[in-house]
Amino acid sequence: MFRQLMTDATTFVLLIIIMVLSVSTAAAGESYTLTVVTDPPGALVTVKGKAIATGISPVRFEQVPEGDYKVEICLSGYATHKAEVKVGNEPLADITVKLARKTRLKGALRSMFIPGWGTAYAGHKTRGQSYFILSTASVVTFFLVEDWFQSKHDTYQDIRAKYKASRTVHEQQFWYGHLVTTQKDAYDAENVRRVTIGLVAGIYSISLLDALLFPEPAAGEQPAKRLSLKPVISSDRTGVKLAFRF
Amino acid sequence: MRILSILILAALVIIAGCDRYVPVSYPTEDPPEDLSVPEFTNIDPGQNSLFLSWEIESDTNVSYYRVYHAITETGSFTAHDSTAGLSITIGGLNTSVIHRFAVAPVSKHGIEGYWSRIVTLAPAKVSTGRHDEITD
Repeated sequence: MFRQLMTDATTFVLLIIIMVLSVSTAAAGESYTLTVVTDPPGALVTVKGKAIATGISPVRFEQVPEGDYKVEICLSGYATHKAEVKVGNEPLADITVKLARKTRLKGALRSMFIPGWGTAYAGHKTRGQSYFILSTASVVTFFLVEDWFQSKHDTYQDIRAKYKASRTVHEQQFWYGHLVTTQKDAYDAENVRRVTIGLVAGIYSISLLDALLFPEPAAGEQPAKRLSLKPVISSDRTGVKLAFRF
Repeated sequence: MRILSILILAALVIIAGCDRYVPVSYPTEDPPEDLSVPEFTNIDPGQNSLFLSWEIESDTNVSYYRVYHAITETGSFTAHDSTAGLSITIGGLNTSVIHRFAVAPVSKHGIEGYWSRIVTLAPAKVSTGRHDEITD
């Protein structure tokens, strides 16, 4: 009887020990470390997944739960690097990234395909969006004007053909009045068409030149604000100086 | 300074883009032919024939004259004959029906000018226009 009781107690204690050990292992299994190293260092690292964390590279995130994470690495003057990492396979997950420098050429190439893309790539998103909207609007305007011009041009050609086919002075005089009017309309439409073509070319060129000529910010440097207000206090006057920095 | 240079370059591109599309498809067409209207000077009916003569203010652009003829008062006109001169004798006329005649100048480019007044040759009389009748 006593032996039976001892056996049962031993079994119970063993079960308790096994359960405690299992919980500890499980707890230990959810704890991982994620290290992000960048070249050059100093980039803003954002980790998003089961948990969200940020840090400046090189950075080591402790106690990271197991799961899939999206890592975004941003550094002024360099292209944003995005990666997906699975935490849980190894106790230590390391990401080493060599950031790609933004260049004028890359920006210009982008702007060649989509106006404003290169400017946005260089960090001027609002200006880039403005170029895109302006160029899209100018292209749409061009197509509308082109359609209008074609209509005027076709009318003129039709009247011209009728005028040339006239066999009597009476017919000639009738069509000549129409010919003069439609010719003027077609000429005016062509002028408007030329202006819209110039607009399309101009906006495209400005976008391209902007991406090509404007320097990208130096590595790690934040672009300074262009507009500034400075107090001016002297013996003869007091005021505020508005300055715009190119 | 950079913005200024960008704007100047863009302006050059715009001008170049505009000049690329100089309209060349709108040549000035010649105005309508300047042909005077013939005025009859002599209408002389004969036996089964009619002699017509006319004058014109300027015959500079006239190549020849086309004579139109219609039978009955409502019949449609057809080109009957043509002449380079200022008169014509039309023969073989059936004097029992009404004949109508008109003359139109034709330019060197084949464009026909305005017609003269219409001469009506009735069995008993000859008239020009609707109210200017000449008794045979």
